Amino acid sequence: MTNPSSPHRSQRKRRLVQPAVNDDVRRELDFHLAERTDELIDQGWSEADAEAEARRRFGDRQAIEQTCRTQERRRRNTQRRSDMFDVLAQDLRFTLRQLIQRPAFTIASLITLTLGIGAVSTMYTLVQGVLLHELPFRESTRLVNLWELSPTGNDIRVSKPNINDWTEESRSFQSIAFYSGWSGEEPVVTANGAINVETIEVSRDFFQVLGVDPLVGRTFTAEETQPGGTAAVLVSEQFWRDRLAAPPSLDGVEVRVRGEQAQVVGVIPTESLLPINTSVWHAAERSSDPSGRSAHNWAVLARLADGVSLSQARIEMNTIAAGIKATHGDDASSDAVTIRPIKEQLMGKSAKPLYFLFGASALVLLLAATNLATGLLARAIDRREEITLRSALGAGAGRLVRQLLTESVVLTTLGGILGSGFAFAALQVLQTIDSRIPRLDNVRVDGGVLLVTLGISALTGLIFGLIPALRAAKVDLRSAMSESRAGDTGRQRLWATMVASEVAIALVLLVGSLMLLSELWTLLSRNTGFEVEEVIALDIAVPNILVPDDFDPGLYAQVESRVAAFHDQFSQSLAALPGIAAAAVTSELPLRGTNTNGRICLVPRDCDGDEELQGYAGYRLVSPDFFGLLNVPILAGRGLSDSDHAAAEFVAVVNRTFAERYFPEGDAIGQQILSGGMDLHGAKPTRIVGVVGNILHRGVDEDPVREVYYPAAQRALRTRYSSYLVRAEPGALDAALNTIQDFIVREHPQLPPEVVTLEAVRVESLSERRFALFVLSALALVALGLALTGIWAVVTYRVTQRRREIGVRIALGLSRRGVFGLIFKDTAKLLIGGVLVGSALAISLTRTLRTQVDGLDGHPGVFLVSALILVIAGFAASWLPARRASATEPTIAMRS
Amino acid sequence: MTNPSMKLIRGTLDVLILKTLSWTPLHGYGVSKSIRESSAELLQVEEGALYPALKRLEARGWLEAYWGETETHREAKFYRLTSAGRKQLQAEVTAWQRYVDAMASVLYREQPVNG
Repeated sequence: MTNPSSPHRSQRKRRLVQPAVNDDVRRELDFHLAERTDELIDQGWSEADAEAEARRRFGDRQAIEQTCRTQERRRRNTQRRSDMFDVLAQDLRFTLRQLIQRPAFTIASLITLTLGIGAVSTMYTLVQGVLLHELPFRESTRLVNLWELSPTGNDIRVSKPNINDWTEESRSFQSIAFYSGWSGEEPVVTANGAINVETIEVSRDFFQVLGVDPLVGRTFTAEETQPGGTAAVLVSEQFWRDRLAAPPSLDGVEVRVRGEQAQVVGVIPTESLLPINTSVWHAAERSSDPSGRSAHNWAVLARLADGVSLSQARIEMNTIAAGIKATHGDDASSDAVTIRPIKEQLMGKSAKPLYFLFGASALVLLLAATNLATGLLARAIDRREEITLRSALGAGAGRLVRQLLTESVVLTTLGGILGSGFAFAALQVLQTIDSRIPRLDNVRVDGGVLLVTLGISALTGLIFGLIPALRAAKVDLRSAMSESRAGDTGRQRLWATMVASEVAIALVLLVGSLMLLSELWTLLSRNTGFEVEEVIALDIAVPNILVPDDFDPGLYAQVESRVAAFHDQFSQSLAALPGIAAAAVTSELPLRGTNTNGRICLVPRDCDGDEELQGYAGYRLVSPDFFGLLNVPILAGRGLSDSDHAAAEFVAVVNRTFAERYFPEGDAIGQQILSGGMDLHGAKPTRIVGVVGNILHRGVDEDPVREVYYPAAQRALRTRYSSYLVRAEPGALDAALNTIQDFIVREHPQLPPEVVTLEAVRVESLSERRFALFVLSALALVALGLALTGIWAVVTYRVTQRRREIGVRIALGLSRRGVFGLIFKDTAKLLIGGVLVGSALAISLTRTLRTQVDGLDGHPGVFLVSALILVIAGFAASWLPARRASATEPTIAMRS
Repeated sequence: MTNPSMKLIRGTLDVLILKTLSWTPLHGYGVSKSIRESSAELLQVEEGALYPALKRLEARGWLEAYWGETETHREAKFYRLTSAGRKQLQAEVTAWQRYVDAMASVLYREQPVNG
């Protein structure tokens, strides 16, 4: 009987030498036949007979061999899989033990990764939720907005006659709807009191075109969408919940708006709001719109017909617009059309800053991962003896690399889980910031985001674990024993590169956020043209008891005087309140204006002829106190006064930009203008009596526009929805806010008691920039922190490595300061590369991006300051290790 | 060849292999020879059929295979009983014993006395 040499020894080795399947089976069966033949020969058979007999007794060799092969192959596959699992489980157990044994390294790595991955995860959530996510409208990619394209290249709203012609003549669209391009706040009264909410007028088919079904109820019926039809509104889901207490049936639910009771017939789900902040939708067709071709009142929404591309639609619409221009001449303001996919329209200015911030967060992750790689590398070198030992004991290089990779992937995956939590929390914070980014409030960390985050995490672990792992596995017996200097230099170069990239990334982010900061600072301290301090603003609508919506044109004068009287009385009562110095009416709030403008022409320089002198100017209605209250300087002529009443000559004051544009010779005073587009019930020739300074009308980041100020009393009907400015007495701002609120609640319960300081309006007008600045600064701070940790770790490590050398130098008389110098010189080498590369990168990046992202247009000083911050911080980070080095006891160091 | 030979009852081959390997690791030829000899050539195995059975037992984790050298200095594939295989053998022996007992109690029973 045969005996195996030693069956129990080294299973791994045995598996490694196992022959290929076919060979394995063939040799096994060959052996059987050979032994059997021998046995038969021993029993006296002839060799040939023995061989034949052995084969006969064996049976169908071919079939058996085939079966055995299949079985063996299957078994080996199963085995391999379970082996892999065993090894993985082993690696995991080993890794976890390692991580627990070195809590400082583990915790530091996890914090680093949480920040890096969390940053990317947060920004990915935003980009995905706001920009990439399909809009909640049926086949939303077929939806487009249409605008008239003015000769000056601006998109302007569309006039009703044009919409009618477009609808009739175009074949590119399945359906066309329109809505008021001006969404404005308007008081709506419910059982819970009055509130100012965004309201909008939409055409009959609006929701059908959009592809949105009401959450509760229905959209408008035909009866509700004709002049004089039943008053009905749709409300947003939020309004329905917050103001109406979410009744499941809308039967008998009414609100009071525009002076009448309107039946609430439908609720629009939150995710489908368009425009985004709308709370109440009116039927546009209920009030007749007699305006002409130059009354640009409507935004147009259309659904492309099947098979029609955007460019085909563009060609057709431009042809139609050119036709309209040819037919109607001067009446038609444009001969071209802009068509824009709805998503592009909605995201507008938000998209680029978001992508920009996403890119910035990716840089932070890159930095965090570099930090991790540095840490892993340092550890791998610390564990050199262990690794050498393991490889001497037969662990192959592949196994070692896999072990080290397991470690980095476990770390990054844990970091990914923590990072997702971070993203969740960060999002809560970001959503409290007023960013004006559409749909931001709807964004959630969902399953998709989690999956992507974990994917990114694992990938990061693989990529950034690979370099240290390969490096570590290369440590062979020779270099470990001899500590060759060549290996050290190579490693130092690698480290220098890593630190330099960290410094470079931090520098880029620092430059970016400092640029945004300085820009914001400039804007905030920009001269607005008026005194912002101690001014309070409130929105007021003249009660509808005084002005019914559809009154007899014969009563025009009477209604106007009623509105004027209301304003007179209201501003007098406001001014009489304690702590209030003055009050003024204005049709629009400075810094928050919607820039209502209309065509004006100059009389008598021919309102029909010279097109050059026709143009658009802001149309503002103010009471005489407006300029004094805001301290707007009167540059020429006079301001407005109480004697400019409805019965007096119609006058106006223009701003400096207007005067310089139309009257460059300075002869504006005394000229007459017509503002045909805006005046109700016939244009009235108006004489310019003064020129005032410019004020920033649309926010501090936009330049002044041409403006004409008309006395509110002379065009009172236009002031039905207007704002009030109130100047508090010095130091009495907070008290005044309360006083005004109390006054409204007490005396005018049908008006919303909403008051705000102009200072708040100014800050609010920068909210988009503030959001970008906030996020980028947070990223830059994290990057700075990570880069410093990286520098600190590397310098510390190198000090430890050079302990013996430093000991010798101290023994030879090097002073403490000398040691500091030694370490700082080392740090300087690390920093200098990063600062140079980072500066170059930052310069080219800001140059490319400054046209895309507001505020990325920095002073060269910003680069200098950023570099300085990094260098100082870098030296600070190396101060601790340097101090430790200088305290080295030479005797101890040399003995070790 | 004069001996009356029994075709192996299907399924018993496995337990015979396990039993044979319970004494010592063997190669396939050794297993087949041992079964032939210990059953006094009564149980006749078609020798080739042994190999698929060995592979099957290996796949179930009851045997472990490895290449080694025989006394005749030939390379041969050896099989060794694993501890799982040992347990399996015990279970099969017990089951077999119960089966034999049950059969015997029927086959050798006295004529029952009526009434």
